[in-house]
Amino acid sequence: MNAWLLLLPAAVLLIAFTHFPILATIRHSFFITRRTGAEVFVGLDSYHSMAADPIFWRALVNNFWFALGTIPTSIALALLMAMWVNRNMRGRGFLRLAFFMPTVLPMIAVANIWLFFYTPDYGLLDQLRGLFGLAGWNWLGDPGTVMGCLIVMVVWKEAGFFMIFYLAALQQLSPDLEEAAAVEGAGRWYTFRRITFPLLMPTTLFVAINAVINSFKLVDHLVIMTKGGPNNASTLLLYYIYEVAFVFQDSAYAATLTVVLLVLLSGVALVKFGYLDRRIHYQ
Amino acid sequence: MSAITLDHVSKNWGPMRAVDDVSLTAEEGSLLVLLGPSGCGKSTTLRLIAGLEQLDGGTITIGGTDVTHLTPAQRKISMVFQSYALFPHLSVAENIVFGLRVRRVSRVERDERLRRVAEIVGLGQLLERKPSQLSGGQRQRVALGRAIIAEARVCLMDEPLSNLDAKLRHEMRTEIRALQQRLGITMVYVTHDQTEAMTMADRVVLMRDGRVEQNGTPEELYNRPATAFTARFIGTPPMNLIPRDDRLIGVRPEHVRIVSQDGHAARVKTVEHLGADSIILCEVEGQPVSVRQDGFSKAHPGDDVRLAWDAAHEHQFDQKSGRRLDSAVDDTRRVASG
Repeated sequence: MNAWLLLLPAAVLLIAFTHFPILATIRHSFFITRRTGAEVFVGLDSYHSMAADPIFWRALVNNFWFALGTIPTSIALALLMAMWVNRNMRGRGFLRLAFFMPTVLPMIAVANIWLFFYTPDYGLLDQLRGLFGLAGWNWLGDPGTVMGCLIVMVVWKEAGFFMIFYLAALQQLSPDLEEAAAVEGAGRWYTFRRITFPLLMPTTLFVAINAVINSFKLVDHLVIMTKGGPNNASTLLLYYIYEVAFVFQDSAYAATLTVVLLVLLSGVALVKFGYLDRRIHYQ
Repeated sequence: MSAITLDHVSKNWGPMRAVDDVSLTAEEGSLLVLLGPSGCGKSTTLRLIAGLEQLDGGTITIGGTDVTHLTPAQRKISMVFQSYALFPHLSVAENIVFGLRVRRVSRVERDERLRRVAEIVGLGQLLERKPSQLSGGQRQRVALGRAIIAEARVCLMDEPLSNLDAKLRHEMRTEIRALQQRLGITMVYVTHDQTEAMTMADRVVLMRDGRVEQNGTPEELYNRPATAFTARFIGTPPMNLIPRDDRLIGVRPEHVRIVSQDGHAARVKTVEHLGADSIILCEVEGQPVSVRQDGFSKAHPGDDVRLAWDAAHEHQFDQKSGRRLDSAVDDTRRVASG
């Protein structure tokens, strides 16, 4: 009984703000709301129309490429930066701060800074192109480059954040291990591959899960920079849900889309807890 | 061909001289102990031999080859760390054969050598375990196994027993020494525990503030300490040092007797019964003097007693420099051989 009482504060918050909304969303996806406010049960109708919705598929495919573009790059970059600033050298504190800076900046400010970089003709990128005599380019207005632009910005923003986790993990590692490997004749790359990287796996997993979640969570930058355009070339799943719910005011369809997002993310969590955790060495 | 020689080796940490002009030689197949209080530079000296630190002066040779500027791997040594430095994500077997894998030794030979080493260090049943599933003593054995599988002629040990309890420490002490002699390894062993030094070493190098205080056999350090520092460091309890004029008179507790007349007046402060013998701590003219007596001492705290010792057992040191004054050479020799 006491144990349950101790769990109560956390349980109340979790149930009220996480579990209940999930269940309510799932339930809501089987209904539509009439103008009168009455709810009508429609079964899987919303799911059928979702399957036939080209923008939904577009958002899903966009999200896939976006995840593929951001996750491995930001993780690799984070690890590289962490290894670099983990060494003893001058200006280490400054470098660490510089790498972490993007995380500290408000997201709206970040979006505006990058908006300036990408502005046609007088933006930073086009000014650089101008030096080489190249014509201006509408980076965010071209369906072919808009996704790449977003990926670069997100990698820039996430890598510094993930670096902090890697840096913390690297500092937990005993320097004895590297020395022992050196005495045994292991080179730097061998030591990294067989000792350092496996011991960083818990961090890599944690960071990867965060990266996956973040890649599905991106909304604010899209609102500022592209509004999903041009021609839905930069529409991601959560942005589409936001649009459907608050611009088109179709809460039933938004609930249906949210269920898809939930299934995707729970899938990721299941893989982590069910499979990866068992294969990774935790200290 | 595996003797280790340090020739005027120095290492500075900023303005601090961690190792200051150290010269020593570990004969091939012998066990040399670097002994000293913490911060005396013994671990740094070992790390210099291993190549884990770069020296600021002097040369190091192993087996006649100048290794001063070689990497740890090129020096063909093995090393046991104080923390054991086992790879926590690898099994015992993988930990032991790590170096063989690095050097691409064939699978067949790897397995064969692993089997042999596992038998030597007694880990046959535990090869699939992870280090976290082992006791302290077992981890120590894994570290030993990893050190000997390479069949390097030189093995360096950095306080390998300091994380073990007293009973295990005694066991491992004997085992390491037996292993070293059986395999004919040249071993440099760092410790702050004089018991380990006295029981295991062929030669002890006592260090203090980065310098060699005395370099000799355990017997020499005990029977003929070159300085007052050595006299105080070696022996439990250490040598009694009593100031007299400009000298320090040193007498081992086992050479002090309680007598009924003559001798120095003393008062008993405490009595420690160790079983086989007793340590009686007395005070002579304000100076503490400990006395070792066989068996269970009848003395009680507060007793007034008289202490005496043979002049032959006296060591004399200069009060200022702490250096030994050699008037007692012949006497000490006689005691040592007698």
